[in-house]
Amino acid sequence: MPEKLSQKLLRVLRSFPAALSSSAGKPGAAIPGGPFGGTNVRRTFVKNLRLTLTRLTAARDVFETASEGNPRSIGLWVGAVLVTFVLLAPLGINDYHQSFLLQVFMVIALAQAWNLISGMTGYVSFGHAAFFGVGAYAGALFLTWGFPWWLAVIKGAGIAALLAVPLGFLTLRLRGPYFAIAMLGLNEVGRVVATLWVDVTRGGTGLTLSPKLLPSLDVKYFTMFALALGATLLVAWVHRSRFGLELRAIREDEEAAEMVGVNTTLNKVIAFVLSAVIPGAVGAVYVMYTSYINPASAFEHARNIEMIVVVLFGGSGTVWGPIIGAGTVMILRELLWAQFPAAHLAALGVLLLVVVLYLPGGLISILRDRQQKRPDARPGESP
Amino acid sequence: MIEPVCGPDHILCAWGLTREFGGVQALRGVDLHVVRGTITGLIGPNGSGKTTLFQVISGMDRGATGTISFDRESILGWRPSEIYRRGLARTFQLSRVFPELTVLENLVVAGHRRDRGAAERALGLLERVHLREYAAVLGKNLSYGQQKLVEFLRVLMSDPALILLDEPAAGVNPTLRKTLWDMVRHLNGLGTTFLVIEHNMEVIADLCSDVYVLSDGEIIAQGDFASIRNNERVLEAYFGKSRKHGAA
Amino acid sequence: MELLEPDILLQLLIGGLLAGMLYALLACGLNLVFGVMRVINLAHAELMLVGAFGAYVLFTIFGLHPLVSLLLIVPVLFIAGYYLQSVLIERVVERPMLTSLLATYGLSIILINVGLLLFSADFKSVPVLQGSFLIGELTVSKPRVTAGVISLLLTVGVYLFLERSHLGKAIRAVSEHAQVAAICGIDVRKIRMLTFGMAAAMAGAAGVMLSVIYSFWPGSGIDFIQKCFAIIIIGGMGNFLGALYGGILLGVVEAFVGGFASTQWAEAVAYLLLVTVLLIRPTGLKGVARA
Repeated sequence: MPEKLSQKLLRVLRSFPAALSSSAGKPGAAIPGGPFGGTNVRRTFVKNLRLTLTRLTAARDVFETASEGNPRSIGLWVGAVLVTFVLLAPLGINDYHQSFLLQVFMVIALAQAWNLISGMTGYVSFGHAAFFGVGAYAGALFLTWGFPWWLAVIKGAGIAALLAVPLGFLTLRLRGPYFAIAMLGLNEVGRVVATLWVDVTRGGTGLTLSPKLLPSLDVKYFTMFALALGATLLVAWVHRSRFGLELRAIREDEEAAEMVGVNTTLNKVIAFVLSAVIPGAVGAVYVMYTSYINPASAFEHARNIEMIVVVLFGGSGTVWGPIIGAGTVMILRELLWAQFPAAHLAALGVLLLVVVLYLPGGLISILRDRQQKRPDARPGESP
Repeated sequence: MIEPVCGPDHILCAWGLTREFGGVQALRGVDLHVVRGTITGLIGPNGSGKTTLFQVISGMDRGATGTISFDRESILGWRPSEIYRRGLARTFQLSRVFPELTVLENLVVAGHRRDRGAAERALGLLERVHLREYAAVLGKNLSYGQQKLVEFLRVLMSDPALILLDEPAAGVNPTLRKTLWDMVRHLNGLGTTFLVIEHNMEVIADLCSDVYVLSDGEIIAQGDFASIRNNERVLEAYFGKSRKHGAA
Repeated sequence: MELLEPDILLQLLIGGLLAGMLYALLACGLNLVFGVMRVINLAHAELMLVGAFGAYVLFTIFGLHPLVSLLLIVPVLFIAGYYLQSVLIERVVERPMLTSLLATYGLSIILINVGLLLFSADFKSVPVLQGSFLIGELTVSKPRVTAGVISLLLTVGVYLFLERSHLGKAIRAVSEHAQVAAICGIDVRKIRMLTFGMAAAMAGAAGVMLSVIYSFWPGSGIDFIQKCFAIIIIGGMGNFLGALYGGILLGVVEAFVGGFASTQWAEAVAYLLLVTVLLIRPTGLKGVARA
């Protein structure tokens, strides 16, 4: 029965791109959205559309080759719709909303990165924002030293990755809670280093970036989106790959995994470094968005909290969990307490408690259970 | 104790393995040689160090001194995953199936990384023990006996030359037990060597051509089962010294 | 170098000892909970701040002297901790340690941000005790002496309770082996609630003492919890006396680093120690970090 429904859906969705491309030659015809004044705008819009469709088709091919069942296909098409919306959005919405979306992308990217090391490999980190902070400072510095913004982002990510290698080897020797605490400590160490290394970071005063160096909001928007998309695709790929299988085996029983030939150290460190590169890049882009960085904002504790709660709430170890979690949390934040960050964080704390006590698998586990009709997971599972 | 010198017939040779845990000597200079193609037994009273020996040989315990050579290569100090890749596999006393992975995933992860046919082989193995329909079941949803069976199959995925079995049939019902031992015999016929820890003497008598007896961290006897069971030191280890006066 | 004058060194030492006694009181409470329940209470420092803000509120509204507030806050926090245990912590005790870590993390976030909503991020303090004692050539600040001595007395008091009293022995039995203790007829659940209550009370007392010497805001807890971790990991997880000595040691080291380098470096000591010990020597000095 489920198959028929999704096949129906697929037929409907498949017709969409065809409809859009046929009307693409007729500017202004049957295209929903706001007013488009002038032919130039229409031509750009059409170009964007064609680009979108190519990307969508490519993405679909990538997924379909590995796709197994119906939920995946539906997920894919939902993803395609979202991607379209995101790419088209800057044309129709104002700066405030665009900034909001940018922040959503940021949270998604960070969440997926955390998901990689914590959800999939089982090494729950309480201080991953440390890499964000490193990337932010590195990006800011490279920018002030004259590098083009995109190179500064790459270098920021690179520095974060470079640090992650030795730190990974050291911290990943620790078991569960101690790893978490060590990462928490590392975040604070990052903050302290940023405060004390005044020559480079200007300490507590922070670094201000001159607007001349910064790219436009649109550029930052798309870059952050690319990071969010990239992170998600990375998690999706890992999920299906041999590497991901080995990571999950490590999460389940590290010793037994080692005993059946999984090189646990190498796998863990690779996952750790991958999970550091993304926050590094995100941090660099973020600093270009705020044009100011200081130790408190770079190594902000709230970021750690968001990474953790968003993923656990959505469903850790899954591909869509972090996206659903990020979307929900950000929308709630916007609706309820955009003006009261403290209330938002308190709500996150409550959410964390609820998830830990009652819903360890996150929102996704509700969907899964309904689908597979198997007995609920034991409440004793740790995330 | 006179031990045969390690030769080309031996797939595993261990010399002078010593392991101390904060004052307690778990292994005292253990010498052990397993002949290629045999099913060798390792018996001994509880606490004699059998599992510790397995931990050391398989690389999980890196704190021992001595020599271990597997297939003419010294493996002391290697990490467990390397030893496994080299062809020496080991099962656990208590089932350690990955609970949140499916049975198929449990098997595939133990296969070679680049093996495209791993899933097929896994399904084939499951077929042999009539567990094919459980391929998509999560490890934690299997019965204990099924878990032990899957764990056994898991180590077969890399086609090991030597398998260390740690009480493979413990806690398993007689039917599954028979399936297990039949597989062991079958694989042995195809050339796989086994070193088995067992408490069931019937199995040892039936299956093993060579038996080592470990007591208090030392090898106290070695030979075929018939000579072992009448060995005075062995009887002493299991049943205690008989005293002339008073109870032991 | 004038810093090496014995007077100055002694001054630093005493200052460090006194601060360390406060740390010890806090760390011992956290350690106690860990020992009995294998739970790392990330909200422990926030419980301390509850005590500190409590003293602040009682002082600004009712003009209560903090030492009087102490007599109120300690029992209140004990009861609060007792029930918090049964409502929240009991549910995660049997689960993997990571689960309880996340739960207490959530609790700490709630407490911090409720605190921010109530009191804003401004620094508060209770500047009641002023001045200093003059002992020979040394000036020792009055509030620090009061805070330090009271903290020490409380810590030693708890220690004696654990060693000598019947209930204390029961607590120690549970921390050694809960299952065996249960078989011996000890109500393990009650013991856990009692222990958590005690730890909360200790944290609250530390908070009141804190309010007298430092200024604080709802986010101050993060620094303190790191100090506690550093202390416990160095002193040995579950080892009460280890935490006591570790706390005092940290206080002294911080004082000397602060004297010879800067206060900012002093603040960094705990983090650096923690991270170094965890990363370079994962077994801690007597601990179970890799258990």
